[in-house]
Amino acid sequence: MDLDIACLCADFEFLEPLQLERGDEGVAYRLKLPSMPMGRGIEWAELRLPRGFPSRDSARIVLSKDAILRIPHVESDGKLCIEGDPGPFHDLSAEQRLIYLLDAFETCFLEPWRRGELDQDFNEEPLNYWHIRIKRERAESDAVRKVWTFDEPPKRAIVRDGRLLTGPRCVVLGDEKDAPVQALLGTSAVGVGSDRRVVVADIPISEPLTPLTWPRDERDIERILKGRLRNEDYERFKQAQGRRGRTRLRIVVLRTRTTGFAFLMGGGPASTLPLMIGGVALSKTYPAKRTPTALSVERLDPSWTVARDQCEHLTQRRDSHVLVFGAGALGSFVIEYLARAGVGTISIVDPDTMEPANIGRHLLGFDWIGSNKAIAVAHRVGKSFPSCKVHGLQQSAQTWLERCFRRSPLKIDLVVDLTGEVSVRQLLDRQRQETPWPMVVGWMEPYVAAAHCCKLPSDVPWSRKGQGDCMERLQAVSWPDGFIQNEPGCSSTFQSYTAAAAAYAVAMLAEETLGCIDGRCDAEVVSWVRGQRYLDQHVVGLTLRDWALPAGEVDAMVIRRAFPCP
Amino acid sequence: MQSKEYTRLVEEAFKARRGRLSERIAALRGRVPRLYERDEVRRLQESYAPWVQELKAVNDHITVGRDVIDEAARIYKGAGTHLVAQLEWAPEEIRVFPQGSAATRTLIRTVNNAAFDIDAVCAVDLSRVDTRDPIGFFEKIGEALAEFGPVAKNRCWRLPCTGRPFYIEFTPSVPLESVSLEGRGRMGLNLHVPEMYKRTALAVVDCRKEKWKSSNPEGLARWVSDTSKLALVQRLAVSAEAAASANVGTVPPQEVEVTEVLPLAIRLCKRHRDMSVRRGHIAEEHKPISVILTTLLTMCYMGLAIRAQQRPYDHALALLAELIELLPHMVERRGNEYWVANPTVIGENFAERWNEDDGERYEAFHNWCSLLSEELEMILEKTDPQEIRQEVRRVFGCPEDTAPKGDGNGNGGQRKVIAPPPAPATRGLA
Repeated sequence: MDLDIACLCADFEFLEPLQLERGDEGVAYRLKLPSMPMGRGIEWAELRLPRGFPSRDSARIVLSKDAILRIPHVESDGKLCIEGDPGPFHDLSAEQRLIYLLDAFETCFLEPWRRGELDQDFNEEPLNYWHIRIKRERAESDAVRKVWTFDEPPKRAIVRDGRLLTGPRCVVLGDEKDAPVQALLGTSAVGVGSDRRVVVADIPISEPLTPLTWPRDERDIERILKGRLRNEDYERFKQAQGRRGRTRLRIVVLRTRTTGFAFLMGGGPASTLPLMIGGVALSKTYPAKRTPTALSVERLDPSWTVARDQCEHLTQRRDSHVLVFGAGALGSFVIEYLARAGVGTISIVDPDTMEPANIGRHLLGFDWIGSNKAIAVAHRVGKSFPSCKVHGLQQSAQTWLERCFRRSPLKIDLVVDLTGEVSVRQLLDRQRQETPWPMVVGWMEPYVAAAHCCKLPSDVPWSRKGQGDCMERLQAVSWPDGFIQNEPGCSSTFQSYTAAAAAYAVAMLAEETLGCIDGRCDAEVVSWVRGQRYLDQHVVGLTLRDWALPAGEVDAMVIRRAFPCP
Repeated sequence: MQSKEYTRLVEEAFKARRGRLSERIAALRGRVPRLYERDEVRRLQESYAPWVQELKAVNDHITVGRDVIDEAARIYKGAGTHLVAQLEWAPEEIRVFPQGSAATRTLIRTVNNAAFDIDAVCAVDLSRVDTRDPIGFFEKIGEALAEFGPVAKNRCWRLPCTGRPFYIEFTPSVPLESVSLEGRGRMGLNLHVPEMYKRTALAVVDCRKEKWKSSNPEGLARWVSDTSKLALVQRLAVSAEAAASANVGTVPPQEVEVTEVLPLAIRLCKRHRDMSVRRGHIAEEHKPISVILTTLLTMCYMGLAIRAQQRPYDHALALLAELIELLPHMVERRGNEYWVANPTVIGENFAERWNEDDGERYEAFHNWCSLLSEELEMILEKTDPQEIRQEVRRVFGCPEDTAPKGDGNGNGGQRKVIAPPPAPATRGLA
């Protein structure tokens, strides 16, 4: 590497010109540190140039180990995490990049640290520092690696049971009656292995912990337990015995609504872990550590998994029951999106079975051929998103309405018709006179040249008296006869389109349906309309109707019209 | 409550205390080099110096700077002047002055440098107030303060003070002295005010209950201030407090010398409480509120006064340890209720909520007191000055010393630094 270090030393008096070998890590230059106020000293700091610098890698500042978890912005290997070397992909010379890095080290780190201006910065990324601590304390033989929480922190500190999944070495903390917890405990996807009960002190805290505030050792944790637990809970946690008098693993979880910190307490039973020797599966038993071990806490509650705490409508969605007719190319994906978005309960009604010809456009694949679509979609979506209860019913809309609903009426917040069948729309319209459900009707036009979402508040019918079904009138293109093809050997009809083209329709429909669940259900029809160019690519001579003409000039457009349309 | 009552409470507290902190102090006295046996003052100073020095450092760190206090005073005075102009009142019809920790010199910084509240009261002449409509009075003040962006709280208007490290909590009130007994009855104010605090008693609005409530922030501040002047320590130098001269009261200086034990004890306790919440030792909603800590420590200080007349404390540190050790035992039991009585409004219990939560707050207070004592014991057990320094700073959440601005060895600013193009405001999401 051809580097003008003398020139840099002239600019930065604290840079020492002697090059030091750092093996695989490249080379380094020591940085002479100024006098520091008491308690702020750093053993050493250096500019480290990796072997790939400047062509592939970036230069870094590395601090001595004593800085880790004492000074903010220092990573687990001592690397300083400040705005530094811009990297090889800018039009800057190696010297210019180092000037930038060394200047940032001095002005953005060293001086602010000396003046105490970084003292609050641990608060900016508390979990980052917690993971450095975990890395320090973790041992291969630890019986527990992390805690998965499925619920919000309790209002007051409590002692509760948790389940240790011996496969991933995770403690599951949540109500075992809740579907997501049941789904996890019943799944093999995460290599659950056997499970055993552990005792957990679940303690709410008001602020995330940092290296300045977290418990340092067993005595500190003990103080928290004594201060926060009721006496009987404290004794129960201390003894932590199972039914046959065997000691249990003890976990302390300290958590705010958004962040969590946990410890596996010292002592307790030995852990037996799987071991592979020469391709033979064995196991080895390790005695429990005497000191507490830091553990990570991962949130699996819907507020986090569904929306990263950023959905104001989540409670409303979780309380909603959506009834979907049709689990085809449109319905199967819309159902999945509703489940992903946090809808609490979805019932699916569809009498059809998966055919080979469905695979290219359906949520389900080859392995589901011959299965009923409603049941299969419910199974797959329910398994992937256990916070949503999904029920599949292999029935026609008529059968469901006459047999199931009449016998045991359900609370339904929204009906979604994605069958494209006029008979289903008529049936539902008639039923809505008795049970005023809000309803969404969704369908696509051939080639997905347009897709429509008609939103009907509970008092707005789909069909007006004497006008018949209005679907054709709402479409964007006047389709000539002969577009819809018959499937060979049966009475089913189809029109070919790609899943990619349908994805636009799915997204629009799912978004509008969620809007209805969130309380925005004005009577309107929302249409996704492709431009003239798209139509011409498929069939020359197709034209958009007058209301859709603005979309003709562009690739696509979403057009909203009040319903019923004039 | 009379001072002899406090003495009685303190006597009982002496019987109930664990005594381990005072044992540590006694042990320190015993750890004195023979060389200084004849020089008592120097002996004690030498003995206690490492702890005193570090507690002073904590005190310096948590102190809210004079400039900040002055700035807050300018704003709430400005709010007072603004009210007078908006409501077309005469200037003498309103008086604005500090209350709470701003008035008792016990204001401290927040743990994470978040904005702290500075409390001010505006006392309005009775002739301007319809006593039958407390909410109307409260809202009228809020409307007149509209340009300060006020946010209604239960008894005050919070003025945000954007860009400053504090917000102001502005409490509308009426001087109780000007209200006749019959008028007080109409206002639902059945509490009595001790003779010596009558002049400063106020009626404030409790919005949640939609009625008037007695208060006496100025009286309470005077009680704390007067008590803190009692000399309990040998050779204690007590600086005279500056008397408020203007109609709009000034906030007393916030710097507290270690010789002023009561304000120091209040500040340290408040800081330790805040750190205990941050560390998860006590729940935020159950932490002992500042006025309870201030009242209990002041009661204790006053209760110790008679004992100290006969046998004064030999050092501020010994008195500080005593206050902290007796603190948990200063809470009264009246029947089945916990009581921390407001000495300036008879019948007002600052610990009213302790009786409504199944003992959660009281328990949290006790646990916190034990923790504070335990941690102080631990500090006093250390002998190496470096360890004392580290432990005191850790316990009270104080950072290391800092360098003044501009004393670095660098030559930043003279070199030519080429910055890369700025990163876009949002990355491509994937």
